[in-house]
Amino acid sequence: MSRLALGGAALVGAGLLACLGPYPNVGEKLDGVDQVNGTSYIALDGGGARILILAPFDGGRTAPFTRIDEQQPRAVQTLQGTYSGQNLDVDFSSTTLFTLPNEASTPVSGRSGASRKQLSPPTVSRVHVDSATSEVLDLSGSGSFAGRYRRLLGRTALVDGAAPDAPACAFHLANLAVESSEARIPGFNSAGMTQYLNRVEPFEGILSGKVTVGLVGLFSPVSTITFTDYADFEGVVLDGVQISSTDTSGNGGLSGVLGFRIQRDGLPPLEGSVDYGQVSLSNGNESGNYLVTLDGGATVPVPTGRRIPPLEQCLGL
Amino acid sequence: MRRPQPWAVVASWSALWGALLFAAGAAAQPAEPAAPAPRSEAAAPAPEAAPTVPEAADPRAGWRHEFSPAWHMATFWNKENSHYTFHSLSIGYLMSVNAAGPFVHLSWVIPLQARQDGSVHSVSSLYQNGGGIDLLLGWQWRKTVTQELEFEGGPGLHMNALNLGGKPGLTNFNALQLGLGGMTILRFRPGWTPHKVGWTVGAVGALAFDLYDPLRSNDLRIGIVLRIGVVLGVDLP
Repeated sequence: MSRLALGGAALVGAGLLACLGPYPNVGEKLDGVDQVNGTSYIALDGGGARILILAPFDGGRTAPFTRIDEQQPRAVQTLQGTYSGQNLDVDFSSTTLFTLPNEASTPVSGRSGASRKQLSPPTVSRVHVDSATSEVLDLSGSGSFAGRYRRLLGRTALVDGAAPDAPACAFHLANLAVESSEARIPGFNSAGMTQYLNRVEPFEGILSGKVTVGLVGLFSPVSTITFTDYADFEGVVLDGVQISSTDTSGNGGLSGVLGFRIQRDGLPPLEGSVDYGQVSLSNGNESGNYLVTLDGGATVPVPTGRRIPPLEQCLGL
Repeated sequence: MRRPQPWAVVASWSALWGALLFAAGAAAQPAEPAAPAPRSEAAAPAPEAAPTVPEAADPRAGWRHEFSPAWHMATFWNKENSHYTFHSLSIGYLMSVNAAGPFVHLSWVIPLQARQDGSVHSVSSLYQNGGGIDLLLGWQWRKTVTQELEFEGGPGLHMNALNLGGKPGLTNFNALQLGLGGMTILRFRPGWTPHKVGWTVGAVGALAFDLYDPLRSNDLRIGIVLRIGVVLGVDLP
């Protein structure tokens, strides 16, 4: 069947069953991320993780930044733009907002999914640097950026591969990168995924690598997400495949194996994988267990849902 | 306010289709034979009575089936006040029945140019496939202007569906806009009727206002669709 006919069928099907969120811009790029190569920091607050990536000024007065907020259950908000500072005051000028809202209680057909918004004029948030060392960065002021940040590579070094919780902790770190990537795939977690029907689209990692997204089957959709040397922030690199096979209501399951590498300051990386074969999807929501293997050890089931143990415990915060 | 559910919209359209098709069938039935004129009390016919002259058929009666190439413009604003305009070629099938009856304008729309907030793009430069359907479904009335000129017009329900598949790296663009509209046709009927089939040429204009897009979380503020073209068709008895 031609792509045109499939597109028409997708339009009619989606029109009858679902909404696709607001109108996109004409000729809008799917991948709207700016690569930011800098130091990654993490702050944790009540189960939510806030990651801040600051590129060096390199002689200029402004430099790019990325701030990723991840709440539980899955909800991600990523800001990108530039920052500049004078004395201890820093202005973050945000130009792009990526959002993956928490729509766990909304039927798949009614979800808006991941979206991107250009902030014009840019949103400026002022923060004050209360303290800054090589490991800690204390920011106060704007609620969008405030927090007690720790350098991420220094924190991942606290994950001991031999500890009983290590597989779960490693998985939670890897899953931060997985969820961060999902916020930048327009339409993710909604009927908007139909735009990837019979096509494979690449999205760059904020730090390196890429993730591709493809969908086959309109009424029994199978989406394939493939990570290649993918990193959104320091400390986690993803390589592998996550496949979801569902009906149009989001009932089905996940499959595929995703490899991950947890980089640590002064230590060899922890390498592992997560097998999604025991994760079910009901109305698009995950249940069951992730099967995690770390450094060739035994496979450990890690339950879906809230992180156990919490990241605060894993990273010694 | 509670948002209309997509299934309710579909049900409404289905019901309307059914009603109009039923009405079309009823309207297309041949007229009942005229009741015989009351006879005079004197039963015997007068030998000098004039022969009966059959009543002239209503020139507005019958089916019109027409092919209509047209220019199609869909311009709309979203809730963030972004302004989109698509200029398209449309190839339409137009049908109507009798002096007063239902009509259908069904067009395949081929977008050629897309505009947003002042920027202008050739559709083929951004999208690798695409098309749309414009449907106007309603009730029309016909008037004869002269013996060979006929005017037709009426209101209807409108749907404008658009699907553009993005080139690699670009988003798709699609919309499913619903609203109210109206149409007028001015047709020339020269009276040439080989095999009792009449031929017509004319012009069509249709205007619609769309207010709801179930596909886009009703991000639609208002949409205006204008279609202007020619009609080439046949009149079936």
